[in-house]
Amino acid sequence: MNDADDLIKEKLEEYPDEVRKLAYEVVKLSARGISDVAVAEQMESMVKRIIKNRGAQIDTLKA
Amino acid sequence: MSGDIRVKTDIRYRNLYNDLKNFAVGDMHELFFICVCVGYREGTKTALSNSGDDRFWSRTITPEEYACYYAIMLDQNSMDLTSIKDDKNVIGEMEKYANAGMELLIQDFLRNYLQSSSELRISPSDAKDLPKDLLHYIYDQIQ
Amino acid sequence: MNFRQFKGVQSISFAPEKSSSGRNVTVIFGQNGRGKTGIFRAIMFCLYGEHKLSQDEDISAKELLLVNTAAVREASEKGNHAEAYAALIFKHGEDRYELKRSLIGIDKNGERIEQVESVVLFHTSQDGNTSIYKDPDDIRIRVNEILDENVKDYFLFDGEKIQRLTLASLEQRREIARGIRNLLKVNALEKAIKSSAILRRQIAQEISKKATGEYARIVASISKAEENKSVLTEAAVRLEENISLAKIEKKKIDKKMEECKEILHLVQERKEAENRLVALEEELKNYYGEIKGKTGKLSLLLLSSTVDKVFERIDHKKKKGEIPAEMRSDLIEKILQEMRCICGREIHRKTEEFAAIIAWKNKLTDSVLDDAALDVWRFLSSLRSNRDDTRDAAEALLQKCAVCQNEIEKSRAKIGSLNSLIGGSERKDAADLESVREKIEQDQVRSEAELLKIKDQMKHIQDELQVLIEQRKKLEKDENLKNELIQRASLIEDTHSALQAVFDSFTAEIKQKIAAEANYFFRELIASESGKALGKIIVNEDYSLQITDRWNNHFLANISAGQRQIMSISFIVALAKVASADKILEMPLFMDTPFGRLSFEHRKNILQKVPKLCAQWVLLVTDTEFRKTEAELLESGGCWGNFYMLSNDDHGVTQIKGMTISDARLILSDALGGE
Repeated sequence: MNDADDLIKEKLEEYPDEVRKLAYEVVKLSARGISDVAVAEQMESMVKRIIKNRGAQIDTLKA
Repeated sequence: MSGDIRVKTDIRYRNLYNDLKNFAVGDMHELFFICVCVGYREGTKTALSNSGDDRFWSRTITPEEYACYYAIMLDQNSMDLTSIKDDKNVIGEMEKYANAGMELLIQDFLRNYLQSSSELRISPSDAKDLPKDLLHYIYDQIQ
Repeated sequence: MNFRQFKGVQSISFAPEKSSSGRNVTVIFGQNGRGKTGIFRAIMFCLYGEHKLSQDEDISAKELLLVNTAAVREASEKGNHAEAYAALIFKHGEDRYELKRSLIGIDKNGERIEQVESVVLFHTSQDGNTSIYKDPDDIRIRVNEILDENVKDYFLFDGEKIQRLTLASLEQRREIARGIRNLLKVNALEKAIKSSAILRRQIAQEISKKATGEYARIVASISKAEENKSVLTEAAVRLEENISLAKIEKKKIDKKMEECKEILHLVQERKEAENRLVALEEELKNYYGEIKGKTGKLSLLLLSSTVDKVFERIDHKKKKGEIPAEMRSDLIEKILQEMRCICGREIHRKTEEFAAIIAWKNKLTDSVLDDAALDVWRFLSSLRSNRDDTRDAAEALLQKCAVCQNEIEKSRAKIGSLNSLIGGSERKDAADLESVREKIEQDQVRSEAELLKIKDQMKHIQDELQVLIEQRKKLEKDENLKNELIQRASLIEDTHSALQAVFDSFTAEIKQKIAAEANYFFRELIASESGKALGKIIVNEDYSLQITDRWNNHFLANISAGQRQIMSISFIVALAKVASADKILEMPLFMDTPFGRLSFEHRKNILQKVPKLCAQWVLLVTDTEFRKTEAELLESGGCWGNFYMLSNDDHGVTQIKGMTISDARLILSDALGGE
């Protein structure tokens, strides 16, 4: 973690949880030196996981 | 001084408001205030066409601007204090003055800065001195 | 082992971090050519596999030999190759790293051949688990995550060539900017935005294949707008580059023209006039910024008569006691409801008391309205009292603008006439250069106009996109968001917007932070007299530096080498502080012969203050710049940890010899007189 990381986290605070976490994970991935396309692919997996969890949460509430 | 009212302007001036905010003034509420002053000074108000277009929240209006709006309402209603009871009504009236004010600004001043006579957009290449010219225009009005 | 001048296995232990012992300074002492820079070179080779440092620009990789020559000769005589390596043990956060990079050297038919053999990284995490990495690409990624190689040269301060930081070429500045942006995670943010944009495009394509009706139309419009925005963004970047290149080309031509003595004074005069023009345009821009905040305030003077009338009427009511009312209307209502006076006595209808109460009630206004009227009175009073100031301020601002514009016109006219004189010169080479310069100038002006247009178009598209996205969101909400594809698109869209918003404010803030820190350190380190004429350090868009004089003019070309060095040191420490975790420099700060150009007061400031600003400080010094005085200054701060002397043995090989500080002080020269 560093000053720049703190600043990014602080600025993401005002966003909803899902957006905040996803955005921060994408920034961390991007810092690792892999290609844009590779980051996009990993981001897609994360998005699918989040949406799937949403569905599971709704089902749990319904049950 | 209510902060929850969506202040509207005429839909024809949507782009012009955005452009002027970029080129000539700080914030939307300031530009709206300028238009109200210009319109009220000429004693003209014009209803918005098609129920208007949301422009900004009333919470950005400064207390000084609100005081001026109340002063206008009191003046045009013979100091009847009930005329300033309902902020929605106050804002509604100011919207009409602002609408007329913008029409006047276009006729008297802004036409030299527009992209074309039909297109209500500021031409960036002509807008370099717009802030100073607008201030000059207002300054000349008060002399 | 066997690296450069260091034959055999030799090691240095850098004084540990401040937090553990308080002694974080290592002094490596030796005459020129003994291998001081070689120690930094070993670290860079180990971390990045780099053979060359920035100072080796003019040397080819083949000429730069890393394996110790004596070792190669000895091995070659036996028909073998010599092995060499550089190994580094370091901590980053709570993790421990051990990195070793090996190479071999051999003399073949009088030709020296060197080859990198292997690299291995041991990473022990906080929980004690050790991972081993042998893939060079993998190791490169991991090391770059800790410290991007583009900024490595920032952490070696070469006192002789400090200009690099402040006089870098465009290409060097781009590389530096890239490295700094990586260090500060700006690159990561940009990449995150690009990647989320890629994903957004992909999912938009998926949706457009499945969407119908109004939703399909909006999705298609958004796609088109995004595409247009992309095209315009690329065009804007190209234009910005063209403009940058044009400025550089003009500078080169001016430099060439200076060689032509006949027109030298004209070229110099033109340069000054152009600089003045830039400063005036900046001044005018600032005035316009001020004006934007003043026009609204001035407009209320258009309502002066109304403001006065209303103010006087409310004031009159106040004086008559009508506002606020002598009695509150809610109290009267309560009395009438309960039919009981405040003293407790019952009130009956058709009595005198009842009639008096009704008369009072009729006179009263709502207390809320009373308060509102009083607020209006108060604000109008304040507006009236500030009226003259508002008018005067507007008048003063308009006058300043007029004067400034007049000066701008004069400058332009002067430049125009100088252009004609230079172009009309009898020297054909000067005239030719001038006509090339004119063409570049025209191209630059055209590019700038085109860029303005494109930025305006991009703004329109962005406004349009905002409206379309809101419409799409509304439709998605109406669709109840059951559709998984739509949910994904919505989340990606929100994340992309969030990243973009964060990027915009983040980059501005981080630059401001660096500039603020750099200016703080600059004031700490610069000698008091030397700093009086100087204003502040400015960090440009590309992270290059500028400094102003106290009248806010650009002054970089006029500062001394010593002041430039202090400026660069301040920037580095600021950069590292902003990028570091615990508010101190994580990367050890190396300074190679830092004192050569510095006066005594500067040296004193650096020796006393820099150890407190960084985790580890390694000073590579010669005998003429580090003497008893410097040793005393360093010792007085209580931060001096280790001392190593580099000396040649009888075979010309450098030996690293660790010494205690008290022994070290015995071998140092005395101070020069006057210090």
